[in-house]
Amino acid sequence: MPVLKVIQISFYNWPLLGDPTWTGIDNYVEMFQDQSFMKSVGFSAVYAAILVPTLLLIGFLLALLLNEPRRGVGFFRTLFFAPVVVGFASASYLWIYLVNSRVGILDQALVDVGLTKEPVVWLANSRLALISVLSMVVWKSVGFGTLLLLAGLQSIPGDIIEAARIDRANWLQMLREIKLPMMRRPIALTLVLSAVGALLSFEQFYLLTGGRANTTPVVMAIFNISFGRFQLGTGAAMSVVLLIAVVIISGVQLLILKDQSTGDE
Amino acid sequence: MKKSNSTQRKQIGIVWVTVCSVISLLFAFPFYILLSASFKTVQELNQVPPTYFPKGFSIESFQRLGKIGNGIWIHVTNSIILASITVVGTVVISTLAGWGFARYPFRGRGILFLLLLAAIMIPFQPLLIPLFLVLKTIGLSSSLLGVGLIYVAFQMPFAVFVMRNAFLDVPTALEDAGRVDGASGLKLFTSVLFPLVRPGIITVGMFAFFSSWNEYLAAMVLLQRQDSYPLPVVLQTAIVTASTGVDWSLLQAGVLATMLPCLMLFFVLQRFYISGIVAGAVKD
Repeated sequence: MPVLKVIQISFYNWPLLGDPTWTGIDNYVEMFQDQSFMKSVGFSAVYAAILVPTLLLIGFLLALLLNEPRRGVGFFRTLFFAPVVVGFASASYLWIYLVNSRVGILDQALVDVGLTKEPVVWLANSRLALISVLSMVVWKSVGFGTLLLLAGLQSIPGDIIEAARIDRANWLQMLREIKLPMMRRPIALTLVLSAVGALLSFEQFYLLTGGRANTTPVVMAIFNISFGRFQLGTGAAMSVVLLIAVVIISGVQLLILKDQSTGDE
Repeated sequence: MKKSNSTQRKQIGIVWVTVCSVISLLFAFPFYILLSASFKTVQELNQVPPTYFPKGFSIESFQRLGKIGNGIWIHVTNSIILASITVVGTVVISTLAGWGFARYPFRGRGILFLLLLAAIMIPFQPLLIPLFLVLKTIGLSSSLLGVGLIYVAFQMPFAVFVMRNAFLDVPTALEDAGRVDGASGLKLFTSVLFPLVRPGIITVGMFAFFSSWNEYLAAMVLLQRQDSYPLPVVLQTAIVTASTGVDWSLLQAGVLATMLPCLMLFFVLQRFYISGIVAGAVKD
């Protein structure tokens, strides 16, 4: 229902007050001419392109660590996963303080260790601001992928691992020949979920960087034009494009899940 | 041979514990910062350069937090109302719907379930504009009920999916045995089915709680009066309205207060939550 509505709105000039008027594809034309929106599309793409592989790589390494049947593994799993349950807004509020150049501990530590002479002003420079956001998001959400990948590792039948061990496969061979191929589904799922999450991100920029230093993602651009300038029609057109992108990526996920449930039977 | 194997295993064990511990410190570090900042005196918190370890212990920040927005308890109440609507609504509807999908073959069940699966991938962010307009039309703008109902709606596809699987895992024989014993409908559910699908219910309830308690964007857009702000939204006033820059003591104490219920709930019920994620995403 709301999906149809947003498509409808996207073809109108829809002010907050007063009557909407039909304008056809004007909103879409305007959207592509809107420099700040196109820039936000590019930025979101870059953000996703960095974040998604980072989350997968770190998540996979953590999953391998947690797959060891050793004492204390439960404690580490709980700790690595705990940040997942705190909100993006809370984590952003925490990070603003953490990376603050005056009262933040991080900068003081960098100065004391001798890595920098002056405190770093993280959020003023586009690259450093992006690093700040990425560090926060990795801390907050890597546990989720870790868990999916760990479940994948643990679903590999023990006798296959045992057989490989008898064949004297070394650690790397085991990873490349057995674990990675058998983990295709959880890996794909982790990729899809983090890609969608990256495309829909908002709080970590709105609250942490405030969109300064060219860090405005798509959702924030839509938010600004819809609820800052109240051009709901144009905002709706942008929303439709975002929706299509998300549905395409998630469609891949649905295919994987479907493939899996028929494959098991 | 055997002996050298076990010493080797021990050595690997030491490396493993060391690596995991270092990573743990990285994960725990932000929590430590938050905790120490919240209990520093306000003067120490605003001090340049900052202190690594708190010199004094103080609950000054929490006392100041009492006055944030319209008073902290109003906003705590708002958050609790939103979370209650979301959790209760999601659990009740998804349990009934999951039961129906799992047990009662009705016309169009296949198509409806496929639609449900498709709805899992619809995010709310691109739909804020129509949601905003709909709430305005039906007179629920700036109402916690309206936002709560929207949260329920967006929890529903995944929740029904989880509950359907929970009911499918219950052996039909058990249900039939209950029927033979004369239980039906609600009685059958409370005495036979409920204990078996409880893990599913807890999973669904926890997802609903975390997402509604932590949600920021929709609440910020759809709730426009300050007295209806939930916690994540009202904390923004510590950044925006402070005339002398960010009010760190207010912000960090507020973040701690917001995070604490989530962390406690997670520590107590993590088994269900984690198995829910694994089952919902990998197995089925």
